[in-house]
Amino acid sequence: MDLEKLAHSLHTLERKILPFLHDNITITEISAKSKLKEDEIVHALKWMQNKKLVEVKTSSTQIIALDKNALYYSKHSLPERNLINILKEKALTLDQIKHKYKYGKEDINPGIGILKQKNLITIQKEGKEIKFKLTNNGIDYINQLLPEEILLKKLGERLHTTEDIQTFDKSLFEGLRKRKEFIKLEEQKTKRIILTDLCKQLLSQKLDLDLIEAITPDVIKNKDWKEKAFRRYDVETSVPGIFGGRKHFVNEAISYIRRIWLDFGFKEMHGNLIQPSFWNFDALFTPQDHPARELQDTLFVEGQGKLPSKELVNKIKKVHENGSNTGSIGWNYKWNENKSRELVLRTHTTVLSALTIASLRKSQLPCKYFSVGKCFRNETLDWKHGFEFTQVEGIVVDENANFRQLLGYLKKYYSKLGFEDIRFRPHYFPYTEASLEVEVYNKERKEWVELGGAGIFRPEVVKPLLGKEVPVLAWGQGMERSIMDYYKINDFRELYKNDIKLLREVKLWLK
Amino acid sequence: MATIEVSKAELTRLLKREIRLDFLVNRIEMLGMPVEKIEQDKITLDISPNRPDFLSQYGIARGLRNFLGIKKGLVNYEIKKSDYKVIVDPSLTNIRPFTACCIIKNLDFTDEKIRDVIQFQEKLHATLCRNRKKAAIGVYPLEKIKLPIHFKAMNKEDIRFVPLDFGAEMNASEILKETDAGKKYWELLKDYKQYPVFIDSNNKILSMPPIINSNTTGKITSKTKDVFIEVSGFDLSFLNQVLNILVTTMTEMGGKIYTTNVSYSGKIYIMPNLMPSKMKLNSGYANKLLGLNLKENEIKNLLEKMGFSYSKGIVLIPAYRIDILHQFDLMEDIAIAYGYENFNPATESFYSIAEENKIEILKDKLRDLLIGMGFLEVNMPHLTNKENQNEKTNHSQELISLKNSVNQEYNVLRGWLVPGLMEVTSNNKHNEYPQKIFEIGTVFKKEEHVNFAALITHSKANLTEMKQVVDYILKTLNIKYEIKEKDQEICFIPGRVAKIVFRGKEIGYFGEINPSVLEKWNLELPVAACEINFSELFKIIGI
Repeated sequence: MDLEKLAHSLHTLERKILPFLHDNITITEISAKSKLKEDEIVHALKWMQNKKLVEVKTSSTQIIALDKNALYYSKHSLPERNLINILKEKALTLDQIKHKYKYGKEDINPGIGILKQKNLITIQKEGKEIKFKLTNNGIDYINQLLPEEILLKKLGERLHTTEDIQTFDKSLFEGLRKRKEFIKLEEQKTKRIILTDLCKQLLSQKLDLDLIEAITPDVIKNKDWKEKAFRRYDVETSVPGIFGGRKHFVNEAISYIRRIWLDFGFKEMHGNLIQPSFWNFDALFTPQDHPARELQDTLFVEGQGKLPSKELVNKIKKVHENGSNTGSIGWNYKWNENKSRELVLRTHTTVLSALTIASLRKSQLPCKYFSVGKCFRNETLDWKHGFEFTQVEGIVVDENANFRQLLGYLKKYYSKLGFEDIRFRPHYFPYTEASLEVEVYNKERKEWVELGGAGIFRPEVVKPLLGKEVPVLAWGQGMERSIMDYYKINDFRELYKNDIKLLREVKLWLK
Repeated sequence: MATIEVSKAELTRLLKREIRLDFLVNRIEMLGMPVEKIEQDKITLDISPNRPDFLSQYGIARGLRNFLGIKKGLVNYEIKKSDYKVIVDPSLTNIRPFTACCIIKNLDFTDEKIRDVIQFQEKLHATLCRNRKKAAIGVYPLEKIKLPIHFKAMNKEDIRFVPLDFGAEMNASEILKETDAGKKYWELLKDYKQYPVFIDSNNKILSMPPIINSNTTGKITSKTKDVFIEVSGFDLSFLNQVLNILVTTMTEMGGKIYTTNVSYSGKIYIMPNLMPSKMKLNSGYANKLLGLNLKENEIKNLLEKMGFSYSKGIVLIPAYRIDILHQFDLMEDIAIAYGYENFNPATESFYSIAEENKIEILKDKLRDLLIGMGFLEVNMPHLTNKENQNEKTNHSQELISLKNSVNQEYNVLRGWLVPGLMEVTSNNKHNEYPQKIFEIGTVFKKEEHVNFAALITHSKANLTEMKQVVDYILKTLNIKYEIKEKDQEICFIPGRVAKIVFRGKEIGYFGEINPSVLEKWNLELPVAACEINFSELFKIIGI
């Protein structure tokens, strides 16, 4: 930067302190000369450092500071002074001294010790009593400061460094220092300014420029800007951060996932989180004694759910008991209607698929539906699991749907999420056949990680709900695990911790 | 799901093939058993509930033998006829009416084999038999018992025997109280006055199902060669399925099957019946579902890789496969044999028009407004506790409880969102202020619906600031509302809480949080909050 530009970019504060600067000057000294506040000077020096005008050297010195007892006695006078005052009229016994001594009676004995040692008092016997009496030396000090008092005063007036100790009476200083909590040595860092060559050159420039500091309505109106230049900013300097409002980062990812399925032409499903077992399990051909329906897996809600039409309930009953007209032999047990009324927090969004299929008219085929929604399970929280999690659900109801298309949809979906290396592994669900689990290869852990299930709904599911057997491709993919990599989050709990710093600063979902 | 541990060495021995570990693991997984972990030679597998025949390494070896093409197709099980007899007494009709049984010989038990059999039995109990609720299995050393065997109900007081792994005789109620199995399963017998027992011709009790065997007559040792197996319960066809899984697996261990004649009031059943069941398979149906074009001989070959046999549209299903309910199931087995990894994912689909759910559309619009005003969205759980929902917010609403939550901190469903926002700001006191947060989420009253709530906190937060937010939102949504003073203060300062009214109906409220509530959340700065019934807004707007 040339010198003129540099001169134009000086802030008022910088210009104010520049004339006072010389090598090794301290901030306190600049403050005294410029009448600016120390923090203003610190700011100005910081900017000047950025402009390479000054360097700041920090040196540390030991300073002598008064500790709490010294501060106390500077205010209330030393014990020896109190004793001199008490004894100035006449000699007194210890008890009499105690009686007259106003505060800090524990100081009496040490005080007497010091006065005796300095030969300022003497002990005399009067009959049986032992009395303390000022000596002639002592009397001299009634109207005269003790050397200790002088030193304390001196130390209190301004800061002294350890270098100053040689100017004091050494034994006097050490005497004070030995007293409890009287003197402490503190390290103090002093910043000293060193001017760079650039600064020295700058000082030879004309610096009392009349620049416009801020652009204000007045400046604009008065047309000041026609004659005067604006002070140049240091645009590289950092500024305090601000935080805007944001979508929760998990919801950002969900928006993207919803858009994937919308782009594929799917309609969105929506439904309650509390569902009767009928829809969550029975309609999905999950036998009533299936382990998933037990207390340790599913969260049951108080109350009883409403069942759909008698006709449909009967169809579901029959398909469980003997397969009804689906060509299946069924599960061979006695189906219990009451059990199907039990309310649960939905364990999968597949419940929405069942409800959707039941609501379809044959004229609406073929069709595709999806949803992204919360599901629940009775689980303790750990890094891998939550009792609430999000499932990405989809169904394709189409006479011509097949397993290869199912794999095609899933493959495309995961490639849009950034997972190219996935595989399909056989799996089991009571309501699908050619069931599969989608897995992604985790290079760090060198293992396949499960992402979600899929399959073709069994005729035992579709026929009672839809009225005829039509292939229905279906999937319920875990959402959280497929977005944690992107956010570099390894612990499930982090996703829903609602740490405001994370919510503000986490990187955007850039997909 | 049950897990079982197999060793590569043992599988190699059973398959009579040396197989690379990574290949073996891959084949096991692609046959439908996810591998949980591998430690040296030991592989831990998850077995899904449809394949109880995989609950022992012998069953897995049989599956792999087919799948790897070492020996394909249906296994023929030789059954030897015998005169062994089991008599089921009608006294059991209302207690435990059925048993399915047979004899297996030549089992040369070693310690490992004994462990395998016990483990298999326990895995079957836990899964297929639903913790012994549906059925219980007993295995007895033939050398210690004398046939014919009677299965009958006896008075509790008359039942006395030494339970398995105990030293002294006990009566029935002592067995239920003192043995581990008794403590675990006593409830299965609690409704009965008489208990079921198997008792032999020496009048020795073999067992009291579904609880425990006798130590004298029901303990297998390394001296045992031949065993009597029974499965007892309530549904004879199910018991036969369990028996079939057991005996076919024990044959894989080297055993020979001998029939038992089980007599029910004179009606004799010869057990086991290992006749494969037949199912029609329409190859066009399977091809269409899979999106393949397999020829009949290919289908035959694939079915044989899964242990079936096939001829002219008829599939023979081995007796241990109890999961084939429909030809749909055969379609899956064909797919597994074909190899999921060999399917070519298809991209073609039919034309359809997307449709976003309208509630989601409105949620996003509302989010945009709030984000524009600098609010940060939070995402709190639906599950919470009464303390947060009511006590810490001076509320007394009725909450919907969960019957069985394992998390005591999360045993009710939230009735409103403000407490969740209070919790967030209370947990974020170390982060920068002002804090402006919101949530749109489901709450649970009599009906489940969606609410929206927002919270502002900084040293000067007040009702005015929140009212500005509410005004801005409702005006932008073009809703004609009124603001009235709200009588019930709940968590707010009296006189500083307002309700939002639409056509005479309260649809939300806002105000300044009462310092007594702030104290409960350890908050030191003023907080203003609002909560609005979003579902109601949705109805009013009618998009």
